[in-house]
Amino acid sequence: MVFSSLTFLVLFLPCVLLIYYAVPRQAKNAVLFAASLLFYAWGEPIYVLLMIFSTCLDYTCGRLVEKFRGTKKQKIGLIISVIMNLGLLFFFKYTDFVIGNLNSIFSLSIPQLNLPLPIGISFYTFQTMSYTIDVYRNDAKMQKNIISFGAYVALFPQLIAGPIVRYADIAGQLNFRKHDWDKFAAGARRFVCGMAKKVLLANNIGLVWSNISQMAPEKISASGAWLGIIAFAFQIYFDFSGYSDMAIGIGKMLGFDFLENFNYPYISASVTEFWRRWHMSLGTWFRDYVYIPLGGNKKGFPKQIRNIAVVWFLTGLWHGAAWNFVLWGVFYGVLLVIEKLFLLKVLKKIPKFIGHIYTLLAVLGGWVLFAFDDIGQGFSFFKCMFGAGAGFINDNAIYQLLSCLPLIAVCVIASLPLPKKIYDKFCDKCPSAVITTAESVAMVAAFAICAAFLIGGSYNPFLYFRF
Amino acid sequence: MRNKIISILFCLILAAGVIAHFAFPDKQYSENEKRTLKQFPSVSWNAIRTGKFGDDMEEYLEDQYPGRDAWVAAKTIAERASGKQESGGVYFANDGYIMEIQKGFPEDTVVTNLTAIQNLSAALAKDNISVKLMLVPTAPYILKDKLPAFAPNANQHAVIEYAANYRIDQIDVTDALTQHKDEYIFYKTDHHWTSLGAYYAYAAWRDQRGTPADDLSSWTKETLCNDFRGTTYAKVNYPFAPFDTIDAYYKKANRKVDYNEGDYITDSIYERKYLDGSDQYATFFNSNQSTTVAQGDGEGRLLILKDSYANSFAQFVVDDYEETHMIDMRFYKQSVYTYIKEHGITEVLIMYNIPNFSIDKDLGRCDK
Repeated sequence: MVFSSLTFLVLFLPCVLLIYYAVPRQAKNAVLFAASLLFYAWGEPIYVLLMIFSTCLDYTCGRLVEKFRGTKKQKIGLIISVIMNLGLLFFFKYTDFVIGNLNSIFSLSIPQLNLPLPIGISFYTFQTMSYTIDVYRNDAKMQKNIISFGAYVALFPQLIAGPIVRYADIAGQLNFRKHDWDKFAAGARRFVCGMAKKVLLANNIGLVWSNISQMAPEKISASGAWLGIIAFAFQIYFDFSGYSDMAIGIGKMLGFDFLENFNYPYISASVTEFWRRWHMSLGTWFRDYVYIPLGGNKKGFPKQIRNIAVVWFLTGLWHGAAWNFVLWGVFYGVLLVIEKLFLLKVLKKIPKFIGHIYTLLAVLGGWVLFAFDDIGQGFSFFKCMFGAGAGFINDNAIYQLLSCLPLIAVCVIASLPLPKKIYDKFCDKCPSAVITTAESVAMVAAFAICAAFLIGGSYNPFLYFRF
Repeated sequence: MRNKIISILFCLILAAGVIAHFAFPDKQYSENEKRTLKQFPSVSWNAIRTGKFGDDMEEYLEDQYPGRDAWVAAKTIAERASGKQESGGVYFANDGYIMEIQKGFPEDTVVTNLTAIQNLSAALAKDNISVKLMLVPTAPYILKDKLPAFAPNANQHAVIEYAANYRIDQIDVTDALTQHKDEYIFYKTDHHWTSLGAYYAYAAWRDQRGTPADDLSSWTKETLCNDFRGTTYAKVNYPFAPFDTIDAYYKKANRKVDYNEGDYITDSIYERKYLDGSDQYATFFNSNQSTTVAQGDGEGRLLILKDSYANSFAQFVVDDYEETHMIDMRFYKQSVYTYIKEHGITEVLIMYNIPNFSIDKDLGRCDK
């Protein structure tokens, strides 16, 4: 199930909230666990078994770590957890990729498994692994209650598209969390914002990208290609950060405080800054569980370069089992190393807007790699951006541009911190009654327009089926 | 206090969403969209296991949510307000026209259909029965001046030019329609041509046969309705769309018509019961029937293999023949050749609008 569906909004969310608040505190985690399994099973009934398996596995591993702490066997639980989780992830996500590569390199014909990818497997295997690692490192206490642990693993708000919630961050909340109006209202506001970002901005700007990317390369003009990749950049940002907002919002309504996942990435003045603002929970995960354990920047520059290379190769591969994602990760790894070597110092000395332009161009180039599974296709699209397709401009590009210009303007503004600043100022200056009225009107309007787009059956893709 | 109000409002909105859904009974059919609506998905282990149940549930909610037409209208208004010139597969063109977006045509279906027509022509040529093909360009092509600036639009005439590679007699009505492009030859809210548009095509056909058509004034004109909103409107429910007028032209008010070989026999080519519904174009020859036979005053027996464009066209033709037959290949599953032999057909006209011709999967059987 996805948040931006009628099934979720009309049936699932109202029922879950009702039951969740109706039951006593001790039963809330059980309700969450059951609801989350149902949420997951909706689209992937069989793979819910996989998730239950993963839950039991790491629950046991946590206990093993605790049991053998201080003895020679204390690593057993940790090793089992890491091997099994990575094994699951590898088996379901990367087996066909490896087979395909072996087949083409050695001209073999090993049959592919053709298994559908369990939705969210990249998110929940990372989360369950983080639990065992955190317990091992004494960053978190072992969870004795398997229901509470299950609620953490399957937690439906962030199950299918993040943010990746580290166990240590919500361990306390799992056992005790506060529910009050302030938190619920903050969650409701956040959820509606996220829904509007996904349904109104991402879906509609995504239509522009899908119109342009589906054309034959010889029909794409340079301006059309630029418009297309800018549209894609907005689509993936509003889609992904919209999902995160909805997840954080629902989390708050259920009493949880998740960490932020996006922080206006497109205002970055360097690629280094971009990755501090984009999908922060993934970056933090790789930093804490790969980069730092490998030695980080503490073991000399050559090792640091190696560590960066490993992290970005894995980051790329995490986004999908295809070479274009690896290339995308490596592309960023190289840029980050270059920035560490000298570019950041240079960027500090020159006017700031140059840094912004450089970052946006780098990110857009990255999205070209990201958007096409077939590297050849990505490359020919790249050539179109420099006029190798249908020249500089053609009718189609003008038409697309004319019809999406207002939407692009809204997207630009919505990706800046400006609206939030205005809102904060408004809350500061205006009397409470005015704010409440304005917020109420905005909430009803946002719901109504989103409903129109969902019921009207518009373009509503799910982008993370490869993650 | 403020947070309490916002929280309660949020819950109320959710509750309203649930209650609205369950308060209204499900509908079988959408009069406006002319399609049956999804019903509550059947529960089976197999459907649940494959995830089909979940997909069906979402479609069911989309189709059955109360006030669906109004929600679609709201979506259209929001899209137009954002500066978009298209929505739900249609363009908003000048003068209130809502036209289907045509971007290109699948070549394989065109090839299949043309090959079948060529075979049928060759077979009937032995019996001295002429076969003619009339491919009619639709509004977005003839009225392309009205489209939004720079809007992508398929070259429909390319299909006619492509068909010239086959041994098929064609009647190209493109020029006849283009000459009158400033007149009311296409409906503004429907994908069909008006009776006037059909008349100009009829006149071009008669010219080509060397027997020019009578002046339009020799037919009696009757306005059937002036509150018609058709298929392109139904895709967007745009409340500010204009209403269309449907005119009928006849020389004799009563003609005997036989639908589906005796299934239903009546005395008018206009089935006026449709004027009360939303599908008023169906008034011409009782919507789309498998076979239709109209009695006339002329000589010979004409067979039209057709889509719904022929329904308004045929009102001009019925006077010219002893019998005018029509076959809709979507419903007629037997041999066309046998039909022609059994009914003593003397002349065949194949008539489709071009977008429909290029996707029609039934015409390819016409040589069987």
